[in-house]
Amino acid sequence: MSKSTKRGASAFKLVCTYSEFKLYQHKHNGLTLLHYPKPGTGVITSNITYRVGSIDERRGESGLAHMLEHMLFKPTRQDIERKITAGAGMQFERETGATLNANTAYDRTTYYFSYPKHHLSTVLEIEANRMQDVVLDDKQFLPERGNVLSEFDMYNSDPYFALEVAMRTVTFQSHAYDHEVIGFREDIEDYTTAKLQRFYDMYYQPNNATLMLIGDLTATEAVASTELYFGQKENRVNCIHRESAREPAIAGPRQVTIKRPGTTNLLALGFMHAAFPSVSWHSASLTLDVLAGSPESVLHQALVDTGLVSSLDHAVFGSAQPNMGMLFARLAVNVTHAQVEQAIQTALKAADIHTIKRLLKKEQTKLLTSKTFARSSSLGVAAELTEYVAADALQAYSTFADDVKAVTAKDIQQNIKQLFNPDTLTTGYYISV
Amino acid sequence: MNTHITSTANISSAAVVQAHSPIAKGFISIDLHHDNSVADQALFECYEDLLLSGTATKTRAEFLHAVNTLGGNISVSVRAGVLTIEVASLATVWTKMLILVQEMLTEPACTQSELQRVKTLVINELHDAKEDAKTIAHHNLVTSLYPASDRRCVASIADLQASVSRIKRAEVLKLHQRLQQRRWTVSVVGSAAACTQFSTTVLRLTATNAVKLEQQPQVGTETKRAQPLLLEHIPSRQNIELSIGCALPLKPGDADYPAVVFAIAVLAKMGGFAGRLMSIVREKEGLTYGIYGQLTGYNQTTNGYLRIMTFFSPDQVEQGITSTCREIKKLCATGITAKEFQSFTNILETSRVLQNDSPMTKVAVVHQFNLLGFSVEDIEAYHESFKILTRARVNKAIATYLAPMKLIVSAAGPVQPITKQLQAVVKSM
Repeated sequence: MSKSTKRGASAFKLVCTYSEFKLYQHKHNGLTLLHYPKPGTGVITSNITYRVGSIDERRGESGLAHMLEHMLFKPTRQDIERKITAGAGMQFERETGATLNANTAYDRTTYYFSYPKHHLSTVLEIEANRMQDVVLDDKQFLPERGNVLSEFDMYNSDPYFALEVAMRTVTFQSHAYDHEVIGFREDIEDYTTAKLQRFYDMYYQPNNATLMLIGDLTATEAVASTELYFGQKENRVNCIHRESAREPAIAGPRQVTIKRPGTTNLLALGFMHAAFPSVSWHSASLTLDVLAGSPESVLHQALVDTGLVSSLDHAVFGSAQPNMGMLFARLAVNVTHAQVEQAIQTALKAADIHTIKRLLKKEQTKLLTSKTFARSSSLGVAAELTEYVAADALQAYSTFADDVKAVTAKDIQQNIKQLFNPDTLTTGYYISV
Repeated sequence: MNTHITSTANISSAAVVQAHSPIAKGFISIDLHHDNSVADQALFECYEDLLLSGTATKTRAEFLHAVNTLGGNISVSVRAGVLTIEVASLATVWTKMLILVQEMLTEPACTQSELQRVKTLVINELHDAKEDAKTIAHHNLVTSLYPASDRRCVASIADLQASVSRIKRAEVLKLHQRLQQRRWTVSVVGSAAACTQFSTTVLRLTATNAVKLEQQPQVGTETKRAQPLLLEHIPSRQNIELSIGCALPLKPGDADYPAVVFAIAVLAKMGGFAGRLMSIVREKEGLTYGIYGQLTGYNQTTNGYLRIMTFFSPDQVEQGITSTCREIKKLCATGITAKEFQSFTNILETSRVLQNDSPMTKVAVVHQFNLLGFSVEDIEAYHESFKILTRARVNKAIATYLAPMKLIVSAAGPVQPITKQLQAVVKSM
């Protein structure tokens, strides 16, 4: 019997009980375990989220967190001993059809599986092994870098992506949100396994991870199984390096232009929003919903319905620190960027409190409804909780409805003035030539 | 979750009952296909928005206000001539949502001003579609396989824009009449009460329907002999999007369908990393981020086609096509292995179990079967047919259906500078 099983379930202490889930922490290695029961489905979703993302990357190493995410599907030391050449995670998916994937964001990297419940032990063993034992060598790395370059090119073909990348570089002077998660192509081309290993050794350890087990299993099963596979894991570093930079105050408007061949013309406005999941963040997010979230919204009526633009898109990011949100307008043929900029400012000024109040109430109701739908599957629950884990704010998952309802029409009116103050905006033009 | 399907002359109705569900979602699909003329396709483009643009008693603003106040969602789409309305909300407001759906379907206003607004919107959206290389590559493949009257073919963007600009209100109202002349296929998930409410609403809506069999969609089985390489130059894209495929004389319900679907999954299973092409072209060779394939484009009476979709950078597209075709040839020459047979038997079973995690996924899957005319027993039999497959049966199906394939490569992106290289690589296939 291993050392870990002797310790038993008592190695985890219950940290907190929320209405939907329980939170435990391992007494020895600090791993956080979240158990969220959804009985009767026969399905479990497991999700392990590491608090490392593009915010932790140095100059010249942009996208390294994402590259490492790809490498965690490669063989571990244990896989090599067992001659599992594809890596245990990949082999598991190829033999069982379980859902597996991963994604990287500004503040976190997440790996998840969704599977029939009898595979729980196999999945936890895979996650435990790849936490620290993936073998980072050129044989595995070089083809995977080709895939990441292919992924980069896929995104970079998208005018929206290209414009956002350019806008981040002129918006942030100091903070590491100045680049997109996938990084710059030139940096990707310069990655080495040594760079990856340093990153892996620093951030992949139990006290920097939260394991979520969501679905058809009891708390006792969750705790005992996790102890069995993660109980012996040790932290490699005592002090995890964190980038911390306070962004200087915005001193004036910024503008960036991209010119490429094609037929797409975009206008984008970048604005600073609060960190997730504060009430201020919800307020900013609802502001964008009121402005551009539906055919009823202020800007949809002013721009899309009048034929000035073909579509509107917006993003308020679920990042742990204040970030740049985006409003995109895709211009109709023969419409200029200046025309649309002017139309936006006119529409924003014309948005009265009654209109805002009417739209806000509906957006709040829609948002609460959409969360009920998202929480109907274990994968949906995991996806939502991931952002709360990354922000180290799990308590806010339970207060979500109250936080959303706390936003008032006056808040939205104030936000419109602040977020879209021409003196603090970053404006992006994507021009087709 | 319990599933029921009932069928009458006017309607096929499926219900996925989930006790105490706090949410409900319904699908209403109606086949509006007539002759796939450019005018019809243009009408479909506008009809999606026009249905949501007001009723006899509500302006568009009032209608949207009513839907959004409930926090619900109604979406409308037309794909290959099939209108699909999706309605979703909390169970607490489901009855009110269904009243709005009923109003929308019985009394669409389609005012001149709304028609003009929608035409402008659609023309703008079509303009945006000019750079959608993935969709263009797919459309070009399909258009090369079937005659223009086939529902799967899509007219050129310029032709559609011109046709949209000429649409008259009377044409839209005439199209709307087809709803009462066609059979409806509906599916719902929710509590027993929510499912009953949905069924009652649909029965009320179809009570006066007069399904005219002679106006049912005509089936086109004709296929064309296409050029092996189709190119569309889109200079703004960085990658070259590919749809590689050919017509396959199969649809669900055919005896060999499960074996061929199984073989295509081994080659290029949709989603995940399990397919051979993902293992080799992506994982081992690092040529693309994703490469997937499926037998698609079929309906209850029409055979489908194979479509493999991927993208490569211009400097790797020759190698990418070569590798992809090499793996297809290899599959055709040697079939699937015993290990692959076992793995994909598990994979197909797991995908079925995972549906239980999400009522939304479950109802979407049931609706697809419902559209194919399957009963609950047919669905069970369909799943069983995979369980009784043998490796020999799959390999025989590969030899019968996949080996004789003459693949067509449809590429969209910055292809102009490498046209000769692409012609050479396709010629050597």
